[in-house]
Amino acid sequence: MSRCGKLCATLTLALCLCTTGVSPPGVSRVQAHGEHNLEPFIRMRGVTFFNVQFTHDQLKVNETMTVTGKFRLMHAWPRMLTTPELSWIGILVPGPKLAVRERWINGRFIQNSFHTELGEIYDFKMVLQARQPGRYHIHPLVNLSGTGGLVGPAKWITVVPGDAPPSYTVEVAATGEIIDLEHFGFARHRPRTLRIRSNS
Amino acid sequence: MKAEELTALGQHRLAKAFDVILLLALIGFFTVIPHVSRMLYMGDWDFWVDWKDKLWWPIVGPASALLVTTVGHYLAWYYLRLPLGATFAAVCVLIGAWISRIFSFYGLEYYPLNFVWPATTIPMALALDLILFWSRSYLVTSFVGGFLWGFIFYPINWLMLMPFLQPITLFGKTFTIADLMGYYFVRPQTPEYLRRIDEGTLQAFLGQRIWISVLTAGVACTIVYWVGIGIGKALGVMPLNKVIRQT
Amino acid sequence: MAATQTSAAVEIQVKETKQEQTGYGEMPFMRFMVIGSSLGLLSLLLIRLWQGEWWFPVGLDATTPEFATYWLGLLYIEWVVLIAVGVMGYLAYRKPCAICAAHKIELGRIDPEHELNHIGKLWATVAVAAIFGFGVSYFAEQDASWHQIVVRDTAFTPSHIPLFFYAFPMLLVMTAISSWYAYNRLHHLYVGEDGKGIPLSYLLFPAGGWLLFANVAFNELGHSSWITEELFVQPFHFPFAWATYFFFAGFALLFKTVPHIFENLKAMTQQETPTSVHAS
Repeated sequence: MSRCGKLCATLTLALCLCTTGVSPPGVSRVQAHGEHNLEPFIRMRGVTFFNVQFTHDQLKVNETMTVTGKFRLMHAWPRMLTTPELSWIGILVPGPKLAVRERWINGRFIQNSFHTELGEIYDFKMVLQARQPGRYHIHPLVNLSGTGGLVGPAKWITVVPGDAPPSYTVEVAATGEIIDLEHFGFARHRPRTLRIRSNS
Repeated sequence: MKAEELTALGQHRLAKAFDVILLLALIGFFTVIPHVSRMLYMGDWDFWVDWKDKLWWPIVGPASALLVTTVGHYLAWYYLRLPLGATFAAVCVLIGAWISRIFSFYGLEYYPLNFVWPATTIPMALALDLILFWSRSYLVTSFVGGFLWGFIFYPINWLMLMPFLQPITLFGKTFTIADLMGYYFVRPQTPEYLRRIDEGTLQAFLGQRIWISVLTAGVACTIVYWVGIGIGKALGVMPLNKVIRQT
Repeated sequence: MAATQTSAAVEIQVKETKQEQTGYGEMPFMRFMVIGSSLGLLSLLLIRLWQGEWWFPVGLDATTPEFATYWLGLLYIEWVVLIAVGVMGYLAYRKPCAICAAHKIELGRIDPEHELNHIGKLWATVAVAAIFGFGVSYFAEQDASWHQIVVRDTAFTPSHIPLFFYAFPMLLVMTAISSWYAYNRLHHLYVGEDGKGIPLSYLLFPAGGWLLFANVAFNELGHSSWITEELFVQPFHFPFAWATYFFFAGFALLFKTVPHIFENLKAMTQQETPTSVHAS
């Protein structure tokens, strides 16, 4: 068994050495995600995005940007996919490095999923807030019930460190307390950012 | 062998080595089995704070968490006569869940921890073990401990959930803080319509519906307790003396 | 004939001498456990470090050459480790213990300390398997977080590579080694001296790892065909949970040996004299 032990140790050492490798030339530290393997018929006959615009390509942490555009659910909907009824919009981003503050469909602020029909055109707007520095490939995304998420055209967004850590403050309706969603509930371990609204 | 003799042998150096090995094996397997079971049966309710609702989570949560915890409870009592199995499993699974939340959900994806905290089952596990210890009967434990498990799951976790249920108004729409976190910390592949929350007609019961849910959970857990014992018996005890004879 | 007998006797003599020196004849079980579980834990830790380094830069798009270099490279290393461990486990324990056989011929029974080491070794293999169980626990939930952030485009995602193609098969390999060890070293404890039959616990314990690994195929088929949304709690995933229940058979495998542990300890304590410090 001692030979086995040595072999194990050698293999682990090899693994160690491999893991300590540095970034070779040609590998850029970018963060795209598997949209290349979406089959063409889904892009062409599923959801078509157009007029997609991003207001920024560089942001500081806590700054916001807007994504606007339109998408159409094509009449030639692939038979393999479920015909969607409920839909939801968002962005495809590697983790909530950018968060979504607002979602608008056809000029209305949406809170819940909305009904969609084939052949219709939908006008969307999303307000994003940067949370973590890095370079990200951001797609607008439509989730369709039974079908999954279909992505639109993307843009590289660079987020650079800002003056303060990420924060999103909102006011609790009942008490008037201002809370920060980033560390609400962990108040004992972080400086509290509470402010009681004056009655005046 | 007599009890005193066994106790004396238990002090032997090698016996202690066996204890250490058993403990390591138990920690490993009682992290993986309840954790996988829990993440697949109640996963999304456990991952995201905005999934923690008043209708499904109080039923699905305790029932799925109880299933394998009961196996630990049963096997520890059957083999070792220790009323510690459920607590041990509950602690292991919570540690496993927190490690995952800290090093994956927060460490890799950057979801804040207040959005992805796991529910606890340790207080109910203590109650379950204690009731078995007092009563020494699986029947009593199932009806009292199992029921209690389902019944107090929501109240205990509500202490952590409560602050997230406060209302917030945004563009004329009312969110809870939990809803807003789910809205803001974007989850690209778990869209809003997948949330199994507060659906159905129990709305008609207004303030009573949480009690209806926890009552259902209590009854469900009484039954799930026996399913857990069945799994423990079939896979943990039955193979002990079963030998397939070669022909 | 006589010459053969003599050489066999010499061989037994040599082995006995060795056994007297070490008391065990094989690697002491605690050392085996410490080395095995440290290596297991180290491998999991290294994979997690690798993920931390290469998860976002090159892990998100399976169509790029960097992905093949970094992630499929890791996959191949894992497979080498897996096969190496499996083959080593098979070869190391493929024959019944010669020292046990020698003891039976010379003394009429197996030396208690020697047998206790075998039992400890069996327990240690289960403990090392448990380390990979811990890995499954961690990487399985990590997979849930991973699928949030990408369009699912391959079965070999950076979260599947440690989970489906390392931790699951490693559990299978380690639990199979446990059963294999029990079969070749401690079979008499399970079936009596006549040695007939296969205890069910030998089969059920590795069955958990096998079912986990087998269910990977079904899972990927579903996700490539009809499961289009990343709902972690869908019933389609439940067989993974059912598979893990088979690891409870490890209890039956271990606890069958408990009476023998005490018997051997008792025999050892009786053998020990105040002047003998060798056994403890």
